[in-house]
Amino acid sequence: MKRPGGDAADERSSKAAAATRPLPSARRLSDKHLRAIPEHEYGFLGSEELWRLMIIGRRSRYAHDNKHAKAAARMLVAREMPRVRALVATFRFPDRPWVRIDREDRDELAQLAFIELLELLEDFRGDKLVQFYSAIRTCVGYVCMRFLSRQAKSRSREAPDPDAIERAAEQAHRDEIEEIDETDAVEQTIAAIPWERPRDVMHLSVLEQLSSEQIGQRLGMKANTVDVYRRRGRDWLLENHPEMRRRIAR
Amino acid sequence: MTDPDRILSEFIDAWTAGQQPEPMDYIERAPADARDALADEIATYLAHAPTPDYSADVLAELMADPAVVELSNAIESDHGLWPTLLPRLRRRASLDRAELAARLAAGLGIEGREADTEKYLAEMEQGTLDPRGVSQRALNALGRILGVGGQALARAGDFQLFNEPALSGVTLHGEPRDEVDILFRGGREQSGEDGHEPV
Repeated sequence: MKRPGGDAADERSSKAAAATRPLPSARRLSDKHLRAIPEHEYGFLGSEELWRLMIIGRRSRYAHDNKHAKAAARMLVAREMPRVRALVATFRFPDRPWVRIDREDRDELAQLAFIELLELLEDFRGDKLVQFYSAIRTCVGYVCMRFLSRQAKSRSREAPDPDAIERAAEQAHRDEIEEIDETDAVEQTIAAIPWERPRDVMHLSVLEQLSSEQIGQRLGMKANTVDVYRRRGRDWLLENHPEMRRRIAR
Repeated sequence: MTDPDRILSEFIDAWTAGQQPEPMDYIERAPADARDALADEIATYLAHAPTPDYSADVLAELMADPAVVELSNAIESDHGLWPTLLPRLRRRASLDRAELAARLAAGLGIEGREADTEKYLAEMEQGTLDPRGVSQRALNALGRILGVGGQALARAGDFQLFNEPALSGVTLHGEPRDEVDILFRGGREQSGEDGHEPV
């Protein structure tokens, strides 16, 4: 689907995102190393590592993992609150773009959106922050829609039906979980490709939907070299995981 | 400068530099007919943007932000999210607890039992009532008054990030005795109710 703003904006946004996301084969601290980092150094960790610490603590029976996870959660909320607040500020009601969130309601809604995000964690099985990020905008959107529609309903019969919005929000919640689960499975399958370059190319192609040119830019190679690696990765996937056919074809 | 592409670039630069840019300051600089598209561009960027490397000072400020402190406390609590969420929603609805109890009792058709309803609301706000005992019908009615969905309220009550749903501090009431007890302690799913309705 074409986003408003045209090609230049598409290119800029994907460039901005692609320039900074870690590559699948980029160096990643092992769980063991991550757990050994003292809490007073959590300020130096990225959101990805903080997120993993939370997941480790959530799955662990050990009290120290649990304690680290709480410290990581506190740091993660602090680091990500500006993003959620800013998303609330940019919210526009579908088909009623003039309906906005007042500044005094933003913190309230940012917290509610955060709570919805964390509720997704109840059903969340992966350990990649990017999967969590993918749900942020949806959560913010529905929290804002619910808030505005109920506010409007109390003033006017013309307002969107809050019950219908609630049903859509619940469906979106379930869809997010399904999407996260599916993406998690695809990511794990791609990670099993035995060669680094084809693995990176397939990751960027299938999961981040980048073009050959964009992947080439990111990996420092020509687009036709990207295509060669893509073919190799795709052939391996089709041979070893034929159930991926539909996803690869997207 | 009113070119939306340039404004978006400036927003991205400010975000990347950890300056926590205020989106409206940028959106309002664009021509009126380009603002919604720019808001959408900024939101799309924010949904994928890397988290800035905040300086130690900025990070300390963020950690002390009341919204962050409150939310962090809620996450670490073993009483679910109701103690954080419910008083907040009630304040947003400009209701004191007695007023909320009166409206909830009316919504549930238990007029005359406002005092009992208020007592249960207090326990929900304090995290001393087992969330799993509160019927979906009561949550749906409460959600209608507070402007949130009943299912969302249920999830918030059940939420435990790090702990098993242990119920330390839960008030022990004994067996439910009447209609009000059953609504608040009889269990989430109760036959013949609108338990699957979203509000």
